[in-house]
Amino acid sequence: MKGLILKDFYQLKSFGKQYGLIFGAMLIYALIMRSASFAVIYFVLMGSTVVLSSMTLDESVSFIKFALTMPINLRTIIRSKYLLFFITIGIGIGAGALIELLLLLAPARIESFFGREEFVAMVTVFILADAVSIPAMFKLGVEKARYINIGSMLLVAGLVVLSVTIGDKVGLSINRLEEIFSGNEFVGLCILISVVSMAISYWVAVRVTENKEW
Amino acid sequence: MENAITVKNLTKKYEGFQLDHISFQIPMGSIVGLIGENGAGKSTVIRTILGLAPADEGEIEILGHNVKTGGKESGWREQIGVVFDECNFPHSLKVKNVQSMMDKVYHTWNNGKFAAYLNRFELPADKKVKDLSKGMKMKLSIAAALSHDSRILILDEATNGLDPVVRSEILDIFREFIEDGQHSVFISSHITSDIEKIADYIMLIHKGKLLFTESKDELLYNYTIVRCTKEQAELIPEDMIVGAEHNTFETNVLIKDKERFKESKLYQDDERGKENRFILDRASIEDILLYIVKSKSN
Repeated sequence: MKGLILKDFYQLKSFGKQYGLIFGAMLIYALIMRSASFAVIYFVLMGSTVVLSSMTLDESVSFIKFALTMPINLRTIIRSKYLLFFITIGIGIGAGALIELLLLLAPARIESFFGREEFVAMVTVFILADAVSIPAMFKLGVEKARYINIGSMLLVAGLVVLSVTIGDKVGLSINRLEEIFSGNEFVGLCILISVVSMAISYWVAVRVTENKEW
Repeated sequence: MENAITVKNLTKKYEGFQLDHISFQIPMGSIVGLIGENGAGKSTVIRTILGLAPADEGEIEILGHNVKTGGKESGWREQIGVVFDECNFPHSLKVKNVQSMMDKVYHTWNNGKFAAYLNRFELPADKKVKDLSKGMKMKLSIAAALSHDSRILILDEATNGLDPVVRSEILDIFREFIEDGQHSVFISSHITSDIEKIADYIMLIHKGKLLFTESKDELLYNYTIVRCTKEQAELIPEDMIVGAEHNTFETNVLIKDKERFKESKLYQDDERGKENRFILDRASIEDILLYIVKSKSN
């Protein structure tokens, strides 16, 4: 596992300059727009999709096939990708928080859309999308998994729009919905959904690759 | 003699192709070459014995370990080194990163050995894999395969696309690897000249069927190409003929048992007559492969 994670970080290191430039560009963008929201979303999204990028690089050289000839079993490879996901989404969240912090120090007032609940909800959406796309990545390949990832996010967004529309029709205003989806219970629910979806995702990834040929 | 690999009745079915009850052994201390045309099943054999594709039937043992796809136990893989036809290290890694990664993967990884191979192959540690030439990439893969406690080296078309100098250098390394009698090499290739240079045993696979496993020396000694006229060729007993090729000027017949042919009345009479002689030429492994494949296809 250590070797696999090390390899993934060597790969990421080669994109270090690009990541640095993106961070700088996002900081400038947030300053110009006087809003940190887009930058925060962007970093969390980027952190959540690193696992797909890492798998793309692996796929281009049939690395998994090669790794399976080493003293590494398939479960370890799958686990290493989930661990990479947790590390990189953590870094994405950290980078988003850092942008917010830096902008707080800026002389101009910068707005942020994100309160605690909104932030947790956004991270949960990305985790859900990856929970669906990581098993697909192992079974169908990265290209299809990327579409599934985008599709999952659109589906969640669609569900949010649908619930707001239905809420409106039954007399639940968006403010009322915001009241319902707030507080520690909501944050706890998001964390629970994230943990459960990732556990199911890992189980599915192991099952769907059981008889896969490499 | 201890076997490095034992395969019994290996069967693997795909749509339009079947690996058909293949059985063979790779003795310890030997180099075994697997030859066959493209699509004959060489890579399927290798992928199946490595557990990368589950076999439909049959048993596979590597160093006494029963190979099962998806099995949790993978420690036995410390003792095998595998090189495929392309370099499988991610291209953004530097050569020294490969070393650090492999050091964490193999308990028996030997940094000193790897450094010695880098030195021998003149591979710069600071260079990225993507900046290496094809030959250098292959050398890196081989260096990695040999820098842990590997007792068997399995190579799938690993010398394809390399120039003769690099190929020769790599073949020398394989010879050194098996010198002590405790190591084996199993190499598949359609470059039969490589196999002819280094293999002790040769396996020929055609359309998923293993046609033979024979000692290379015996193969080269027993098989011969008889050059003669079409009329003379028709006199050769059919059970001696492996395959034949006709052209405007002559007929070439691949004979399986050279000694038997030389002792036959047909050849003896021809020798005495000194006219329209049968000319016996050395059959290379490539000739044997071509004649057999052609005769099976007709």
